[in-house]
Amino acid sequence: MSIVLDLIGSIVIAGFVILIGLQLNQTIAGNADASTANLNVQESMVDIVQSIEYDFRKMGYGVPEGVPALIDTGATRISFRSDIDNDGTVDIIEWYTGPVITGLPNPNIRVLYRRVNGGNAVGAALGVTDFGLKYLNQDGGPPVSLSAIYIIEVTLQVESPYKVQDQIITDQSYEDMEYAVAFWRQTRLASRNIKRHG
Amino acid sequence: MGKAAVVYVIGLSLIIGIGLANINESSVGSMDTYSTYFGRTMAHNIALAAANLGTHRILFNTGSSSAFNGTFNGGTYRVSFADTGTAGNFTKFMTAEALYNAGGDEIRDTVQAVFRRVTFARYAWFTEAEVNGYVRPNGKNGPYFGHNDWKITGDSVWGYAHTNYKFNLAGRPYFHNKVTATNAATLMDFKGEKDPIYNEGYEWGVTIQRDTANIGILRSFANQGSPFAPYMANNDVGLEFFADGTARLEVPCGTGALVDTVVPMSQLTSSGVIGVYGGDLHIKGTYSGQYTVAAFTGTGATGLKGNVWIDGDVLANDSPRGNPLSKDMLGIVAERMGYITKDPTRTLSSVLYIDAAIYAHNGEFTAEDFWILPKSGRVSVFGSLVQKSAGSLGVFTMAGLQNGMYYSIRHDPRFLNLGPPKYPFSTKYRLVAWWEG
Repeated sequence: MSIVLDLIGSIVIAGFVILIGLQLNQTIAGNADASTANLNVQESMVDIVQSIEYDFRKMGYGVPEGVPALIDTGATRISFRSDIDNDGTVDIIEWYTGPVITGLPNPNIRVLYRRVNGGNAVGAALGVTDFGLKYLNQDGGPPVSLSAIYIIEVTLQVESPYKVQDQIITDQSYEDMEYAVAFWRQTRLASRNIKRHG
Repeated sequence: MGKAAVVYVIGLSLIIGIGLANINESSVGSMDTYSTYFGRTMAHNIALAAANLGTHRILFNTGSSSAFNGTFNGGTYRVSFADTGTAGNFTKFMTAEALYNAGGDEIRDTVQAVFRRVTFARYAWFTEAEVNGYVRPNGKNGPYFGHNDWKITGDSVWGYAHTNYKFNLAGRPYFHNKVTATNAATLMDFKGEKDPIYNEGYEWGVTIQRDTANIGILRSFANQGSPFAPYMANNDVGLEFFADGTARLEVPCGTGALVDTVVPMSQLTSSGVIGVYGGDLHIKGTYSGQYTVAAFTGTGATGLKGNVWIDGDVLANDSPRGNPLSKDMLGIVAERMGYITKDPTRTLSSVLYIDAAIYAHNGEFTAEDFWILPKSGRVSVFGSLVQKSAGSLGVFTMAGLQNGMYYSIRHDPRFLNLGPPKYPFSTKYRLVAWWEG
């Protein structure tokens, strides 16, 4: 009789241990998934930021005096002149966001495009959900014209295409989960070439 | 039972171990991403700091060309220079290289910049001080000498504006291009407004010296190879340009007692510079080609000479007003004053056109006796105006023009990078291009 009780007790305890193990496995898997998603959005962010910085820092380079460096200054698009490949010819570079991509769990993801000299646009579908541009004069105020723009504030947000488990609250339903997010804002990203006049 | 427990423990340990290893790998990857970006940012900032140091050396010491290196913020940098160009177009290249060790990864970054000494013709308006400095041909001051020059609502400057003192601005004068000055502008309320419009921004603390050596350079190039060179000293000279590339040379101006002939401009100079030493130069007409005409102050009895007199329209044959690719270009340089000659036939509707870059080294560009002239219309300058003091062409009250002429100055964009032959240039370098890797 005592053996039977031992077996029953063992089975019950083993059941609990297995349940705990499964729960632990799920939590760890969710955490690992969240960590991977976070790593992915961070790497995507760095990739995009490096491209943006590479281009924006050269804004106005090689552009003759009297020719404006900035061509189009929108809230989510920018177009400017620069001898971007340093070959002695002034190029026109555009950065802009396309429409949202359908079919992904995250409905806010867009493609961030870069186009040179009106050629084929190259898109970076790396989870960009926000690409914002703000233009300021030398005093940090609104510029009266394109020529008065000295400072460009760039905002970029990248999100994972699917929601990931919160690393603290582990028992959320999928609806309650959030996307992995990386946010970058450069408040002083402006080439010296656009403020060298005078 | 004991064996089963061991299996459970080992199984759980494996699950936990693998899970933690995954998380740890992601964390390390995340840190690696951050570290790489941090390293690149550090290398870039070190290169920028080095480039700023190099820029400072060039801007505050024109002769600085020695490479230097150092350490900053955990990295190293090296800045080197290369000089090219000739008088009037000196160019200096700067390369700043940085090296930063980010956890074993050596990250490099480079910033390059180009500096150039530029022609004064790039300014639409340049003065040493915004005060009237009218001096008569006999050396006596005009009645408004020393009075502040004010730019007020309705005034506009199209092209770069600079003064080595301070601007006096009332209301909302308009500056289309960047404004620079040694000191901040003095602002005055005008009709309830005190807010100048700087379309391209402003920068105070900028001083650009006008080197007297420029005058010496012009003199050395003046009248080179010309058979008329001997007549160009200690005489007043008249030059009337013709569209076919010739000019009437009259020495002395008004009588032609020594020379009165029409010759190709090429016979007056091979260097592009025509100069009168110890005399005044009177000009008018339509020119073809690229020339700088100048009048230099003499010594003794000719110490008050060196004035250029505008006797009538001075026009480019191929007008740059309509053709920005026109090859016709004129510099007018007066070591002393530039006067618009009195002309009693002018009326309120008259317009005097001048297509030229004008430079008055010790004086200003003005209209002869402007304060007693009847209302004489407008002067339209398409070029550049550089003066020691701020010349006036008329007397204005709140009711408008009372005497003299209205002023209209438009900058010739061709002068942004290239001036007329041997035209005065700055001794200070200016940043013209900046490349960040």
